[in-house]
Amino acid sequence: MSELYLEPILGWRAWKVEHGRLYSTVFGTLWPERHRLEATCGLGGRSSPGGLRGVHEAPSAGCQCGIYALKAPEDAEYLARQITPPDVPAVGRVSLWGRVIETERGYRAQYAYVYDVMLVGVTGEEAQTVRNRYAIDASVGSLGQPPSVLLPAA
Amino acid sequence: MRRLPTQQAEIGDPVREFEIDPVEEPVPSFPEEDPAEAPATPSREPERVPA
Repeated sequence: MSELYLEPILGWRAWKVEHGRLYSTVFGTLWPERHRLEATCGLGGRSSPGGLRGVHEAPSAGCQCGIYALKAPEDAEYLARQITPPDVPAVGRVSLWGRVIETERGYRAQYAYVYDVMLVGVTGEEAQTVRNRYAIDASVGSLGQPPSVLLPAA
Repeated sequence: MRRLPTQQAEIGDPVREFEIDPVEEPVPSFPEEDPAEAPATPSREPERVPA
């Protein structure tokens, strides 16, 4: 039996922003407004929140499925720095709950919703649009220094 | 779409598994009839990582 907790945890992510909406960087999944994002697993073990249902419930320890988040903001910023124009990068925190698999540097979760977000290289108007759509704190800022722990290059 | 580094490489290997069943889901809600007037700041819960 796995441990049970009552409060969501927070993790860090990077997104691409388009017309005030947040999209995952790897699979391009649209993060829904005012509704939780639910992980599903795609066929063949290659999975994404937007993947096909039917293999197993996500996340699964033996798979790579689930909604990903990182423990360190520096790691999320590292990913955001690889997003190039015209795409707009953003970094922020997500609430995670449901079934959660903790990993060395992050989490894979069953459910998620954006907690707050910082958009990079845009106007305050764009941040306001995100703020209104998702009902979260949204700001405009710049990415910090390179992380002390480097991740694999693209 | 240009792919970023693989997700698994980003977060590393699994350490443990647990379940979170919050009393209230952390999804902001506000009246459907006029979402533009909705409060933009959700309720804040203290950040907590299970020990």
